[in-house]
Amino acid sequence: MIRINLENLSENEIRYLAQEELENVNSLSVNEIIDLLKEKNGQTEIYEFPGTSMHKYLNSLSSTVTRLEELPGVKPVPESYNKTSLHLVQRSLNWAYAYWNISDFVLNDLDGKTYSLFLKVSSYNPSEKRITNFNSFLDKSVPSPISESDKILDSYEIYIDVNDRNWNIQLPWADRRYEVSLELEINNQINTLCTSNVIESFNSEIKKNPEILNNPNTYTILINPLLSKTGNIIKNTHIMELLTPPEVKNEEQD
Amino acid sequence: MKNRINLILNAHLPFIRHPEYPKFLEEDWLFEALNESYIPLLRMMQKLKEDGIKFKLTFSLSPTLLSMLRDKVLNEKFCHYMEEKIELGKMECGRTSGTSFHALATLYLKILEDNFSFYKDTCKSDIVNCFLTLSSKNYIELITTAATHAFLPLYQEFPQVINAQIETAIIQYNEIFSKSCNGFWLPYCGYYPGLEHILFHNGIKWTSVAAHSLILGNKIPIKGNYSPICTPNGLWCFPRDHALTGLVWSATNGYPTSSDYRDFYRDIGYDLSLDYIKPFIHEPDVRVFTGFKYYSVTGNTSKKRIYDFEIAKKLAEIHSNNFIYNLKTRGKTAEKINKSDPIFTLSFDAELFGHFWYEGVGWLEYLIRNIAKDKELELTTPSDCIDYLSRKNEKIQIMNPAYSSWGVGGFSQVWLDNETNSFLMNHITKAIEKMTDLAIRFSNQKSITERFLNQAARETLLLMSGDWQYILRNKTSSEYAKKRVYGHIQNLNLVYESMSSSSVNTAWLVKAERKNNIFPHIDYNIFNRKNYEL
Repeated sequence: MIRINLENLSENEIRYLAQEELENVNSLSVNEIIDLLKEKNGQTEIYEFPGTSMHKYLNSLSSTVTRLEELPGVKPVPESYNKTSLHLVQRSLNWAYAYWNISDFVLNDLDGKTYSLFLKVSSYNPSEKRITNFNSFLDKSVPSPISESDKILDSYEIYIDVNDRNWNIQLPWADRRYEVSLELEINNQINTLCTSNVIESFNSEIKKNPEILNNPNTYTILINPLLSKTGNIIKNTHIMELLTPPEVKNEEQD
Repeated sequence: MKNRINLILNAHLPFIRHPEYPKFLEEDWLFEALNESYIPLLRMMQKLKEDGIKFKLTFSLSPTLLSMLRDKVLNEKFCHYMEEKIELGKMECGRTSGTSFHALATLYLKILEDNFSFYKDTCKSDIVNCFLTLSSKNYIELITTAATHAFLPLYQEFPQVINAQIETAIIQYNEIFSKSCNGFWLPYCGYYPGLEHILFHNGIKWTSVAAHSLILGNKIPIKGNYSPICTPNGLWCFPRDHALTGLVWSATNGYPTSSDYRDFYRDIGYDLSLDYIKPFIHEPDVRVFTGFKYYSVTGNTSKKRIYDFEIAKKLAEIHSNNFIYNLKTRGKTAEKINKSDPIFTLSFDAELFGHFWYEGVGWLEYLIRNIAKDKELELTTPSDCIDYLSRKNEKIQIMNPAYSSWGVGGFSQVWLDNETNSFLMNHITKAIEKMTDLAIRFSNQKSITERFLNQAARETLLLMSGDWQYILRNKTSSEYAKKRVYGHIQNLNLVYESMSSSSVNTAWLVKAERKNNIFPHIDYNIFNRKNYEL
């Protein structure tokens, strides 16, 4: 009998294991498979597989790396870093991932006080396309920094807990630069603790003009290469959104 | 009408090298890929060449893979691995004698012996030279990719680090192949607008992007995915064809899932008694794949049919014909609408062929032979296409592809997964900041301090490998990936702290250089952004 924690397995492994236990595995999602296996096994995360061939999956679960030696003089990696800083990295066309550290100095100062922490997401005009006086080719690869003359076009706040260290940030407006700041509201005053790097949302032409796909030739040329042999479209929310009829979109919003 | 087909194979494995152990589980990834994919692919191309078949393929050999293929310690370990497999093959021929498994056991033993002899005698224990020979005879175009296969869009904030990944790879390419590199494989097809400036600065002429990157681009791609586009600064981008590659790639209904092909999972390493298999697995009693697999996919059942190699071979031929049929049908429609010959870009991980899909190399051989006979089809490389289109003065659309990747969801979700790997970004960012700070504060050092800082640069690049995040998300060898990430951070922190107190830890340096010996000519000054200022 092999005892395996389902949550530790990859999708391939779960599907393969489930073949012996369930029918029509391919038509089920991984979560559905896990739920059915748990159901069979009395709602526990640990599933007992009777087959001897299932030894294979002990591989990924057995730690052969405990013997992996560290080099002399190294110290453990800290959980967080003692400097207040915030970074922003793009996750998709309209989502970003923000992560930050807050220094002990700031945290100690907040001890016992009433305060609020929030992220302020600010959007600005896109990078100036006519800039030519770059310091190096590297500068061309990043959005231009926010200058004093840049005006905030739109912004919104996300209130966070002092223990939070990351957040997924929506980028609601296309073709804009974004900056996120970590703000502390205390005694009716707002102080900016740190500000992120700048990222830029993309201006996708087809999202502005989806009706172009009403032309059968354009549809064939643009969409056919993205279809599977069973007619399923590539798994991408923006492409799927383009192909969703407006009435369905409205229903979803309702 | 002519359908031009760019077939790009991305050969990559993370840098895994543990000279401190005689056998190390994760080193088997390289040995399996060598024995099951790279050597069979080279042998297949050799055979085509000998048969006078014209073909053109593009291979991206990642810098980490090239380093491992040229490593003496790993070469010796691979020879030991093959000797052990041949010994197991002989035992299997004896054990299966008189059973219906015997023919397969005999076949496996012969393939092992032929592969090993090809490696030792034809390649002289260096398959890189075989790739180089095929490239010099114009059969393949060799390209490179990011130094440690980092998922580049994550590091857009640090362009000097993106440049370090690209420049280090190109320096290694020039050293090994003694020529300039035209193409660059974007790891996981990860692209962000702006990346083209760094690629172009490093002399790169073309790259391949994900299937949805053009349709979501800043202009409507007039010819869809049937033609490359150019970014405003002159980088050619070849969009991958999702529909055709999906015929092979799809985990649910791709060719490799057919019931007559060999089952990847059923292997005597797991099926036979521990006493029998013990000498061929890892300590302490960690069962592994041995390559001796006797069952076919069959279906969703534990009662698998015995694998019939001849039936599977025939099926591979049928599937290659089916692939060509689909390609030509699509090409005809595209040509009618676009009024120009279509260009298809089909990219795959090289390890799919032979390793994950046992019959994949055979399928590829049938495909190449059929294409060679067909006047409507031509295998090309992206560099050939650029030459051809330039000669014809063909107007190429200027536009920017969208931020994209070939990972699930199409963007960065795989490498920024909230449940499994996004926590790494904070640590990696801090490490990058420290390395950049070191390069600025201690620029142009000499002697042992230079070696110390160069090792920090190696640790930073290794830390950035996209494989660690990928493995953590797929929950396959999570503990190993986590150990590697933390190990590289610890090493970098040690250099940072030592340099901050004006010292060099020589005991650490000697061991670190021996262990993580990748990129021997690295110059840590590439992390100094000031070096790029005009």
